[in-house]
Amino acid sequence: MEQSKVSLQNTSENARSETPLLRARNVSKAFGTVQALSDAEIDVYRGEIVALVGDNGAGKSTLIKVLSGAHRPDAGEIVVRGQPATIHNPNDAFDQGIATVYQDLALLPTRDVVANLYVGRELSKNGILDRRRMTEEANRVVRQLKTNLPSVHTRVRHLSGGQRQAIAIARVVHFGAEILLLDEPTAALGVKEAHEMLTLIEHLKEQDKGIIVVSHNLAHVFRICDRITVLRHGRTVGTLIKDETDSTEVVRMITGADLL
Amino acid sequence: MAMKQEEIDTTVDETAGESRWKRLLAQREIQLLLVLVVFTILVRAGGAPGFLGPTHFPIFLSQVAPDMLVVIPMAMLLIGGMFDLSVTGIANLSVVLIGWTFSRLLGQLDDTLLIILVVAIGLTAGLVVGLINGLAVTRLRMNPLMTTLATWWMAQGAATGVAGGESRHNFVGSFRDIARFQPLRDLGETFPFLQEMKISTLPMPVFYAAIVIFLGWLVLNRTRFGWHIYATGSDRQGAALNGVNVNRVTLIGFVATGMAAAMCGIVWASRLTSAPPNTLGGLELRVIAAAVIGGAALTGGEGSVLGAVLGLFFMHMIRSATIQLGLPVYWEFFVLGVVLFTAVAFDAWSKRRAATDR
Ligand SMILES: Nc1ncnc2c1ncn2[C@@H]1O[C@H](COP(=O)(O)OP(=O)(O)O)[C@@H](O)[C@H]1O
Ligand SMILES: [Mg+2]
Repeated sequence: MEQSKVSLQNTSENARSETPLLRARNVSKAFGTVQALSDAEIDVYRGEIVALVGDNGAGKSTLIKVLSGAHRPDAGEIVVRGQPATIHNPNDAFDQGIATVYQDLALLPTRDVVANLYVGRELSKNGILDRRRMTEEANRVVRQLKTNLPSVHTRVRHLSGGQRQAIAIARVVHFGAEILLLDEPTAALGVKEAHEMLTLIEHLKEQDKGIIVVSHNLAHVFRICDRITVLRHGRTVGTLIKDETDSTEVVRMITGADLL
Repeated sequence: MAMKQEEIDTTVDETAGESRWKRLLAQREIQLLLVLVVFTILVRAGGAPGFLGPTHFPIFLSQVAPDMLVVIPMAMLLIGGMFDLSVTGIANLSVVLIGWTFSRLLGQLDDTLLIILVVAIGLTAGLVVGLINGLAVTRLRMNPLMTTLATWWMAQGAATGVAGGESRHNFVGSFRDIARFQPLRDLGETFPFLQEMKISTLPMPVFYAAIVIFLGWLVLNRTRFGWHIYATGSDRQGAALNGVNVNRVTLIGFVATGMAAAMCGIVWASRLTSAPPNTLGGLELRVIAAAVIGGAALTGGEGSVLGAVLGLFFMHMIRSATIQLGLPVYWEFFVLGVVLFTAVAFDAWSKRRAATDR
């Protein structure tokens, strides 16, 4: 019963005239004997925030990593702006305008803010770095963040959790990606920092980006998102429109209580 | 706080709250330089007034040079989060292969051609072992410690096996020039001060070392690839998630180190014009220790070319001082051990302090 209601909502959503920025279908991924994903699906439209929720181990991070090119799926289809896309590594994803903030941030602790902002995308000419421009740009980016960094030459291991999170977000925003994948961006933050982060994410939505946010915090989810995709045991059990649901229903889908 | 942000604009290199001096003194290279200066003063005062003086310094440089070829790529490998124990085996293998080739082909080939051939064979040995190390670690995900211990023994064993218990001595005479030629000698006749300062007597290996140091510095600090080395060592997974080709960094690092070790062997073969399979001993620990003393972290992501250079200088200065002061050379290793222990303890202490300081 529950399932049919969910798919109905899916159809109404899919009836939108535009094509989604990003759509993944039937994605499967196994690590040895652990089936992390089986038939996972998600899509996100321009100017939309989709929350990806699920219990611990449901496969949320794995799905994010498949979309970002960090993992190759065993099966499944990824369509970017209506075109089937092959994303074999993080550079492929970047070229498609997909940028990711990973759950563990993937920062370089022994390197400074400049090197972290530009890792993998260093400004260079014939392999020779343009350090001056990177430093200037990093200063500009850091100023926009309104975090109090003493200097862009501070090593990341000397930064607070909030500052690190800000650098990780700045990295994806700076390069102008249209599709943002954020894996638990508020998990490591204090109350005030978390709310600043949510405001920033809403701000990015206004810039017409398509954003997928993984979060455990349903209050955060309900504050910012438009739709909620629920993963359970690696499977997408449904996508709900926020305005048509409540946290009780979401929790039931996350835990699978509706199947009892 | 708003003021600090203003400052960021103009004074990019300043860390707020710390003076320029304090920051300078916090740098490993500066600390090490001070230690070297104090050490030199003490040794001179303690009975070796000529220590690192105009006569000793050029000799000292030519003694350090062969190790210097290896310490630079080794430091880069460490910064990239890897290390390589096999360098001694590689260097000895290249020495023995050179001797073997000379004794087989001497007189059958044009001398210059033969020299080019033996150099190519020596370098190929380094290339092959470096490739094996790099592919084993990146493709087969083998542990670098055990992999390079194994290839060390394989290379050393092959060297001993090929040598078959004899060192061969029939070299092409001009092969000596690789280590002994003094490129500034003629210049010394025109500019007597070069001769007085003995700079005109500097042999080729010092210049090879200078080139390797410069290239290492350039790559590490000025190229994308250099930043990728730091990124790989800082957080291998994080770097990979950001599109850094971490396996390429590691593979190139092992190949460069292997070829540098082979180069070191070539220099020694030329210097000795003989090819015993135990020409080099302890090269691996010497260069790894030097890089670590110079600030390279075994955990990766940290270190510098200048630090590695100074670290190696320090190791060789201890050896020279022991000899010049007439101390029993048996104590050299004890002192080296104390220095390494101190450097590692100091690293651990500054990391603990940094962790609690936040
Ligand atoms: N690299 C990996 N190797 C092996 N198993 C993994 C790996 N990454 C995730 N898994 C497993 O896949 C499942 C899903 O993990 P994950 O996607 O991290 O879940 P979530 O982010 O929803 O908590 C878990 O059982 C986890 O242990
Ligand atoms: Mg997760």
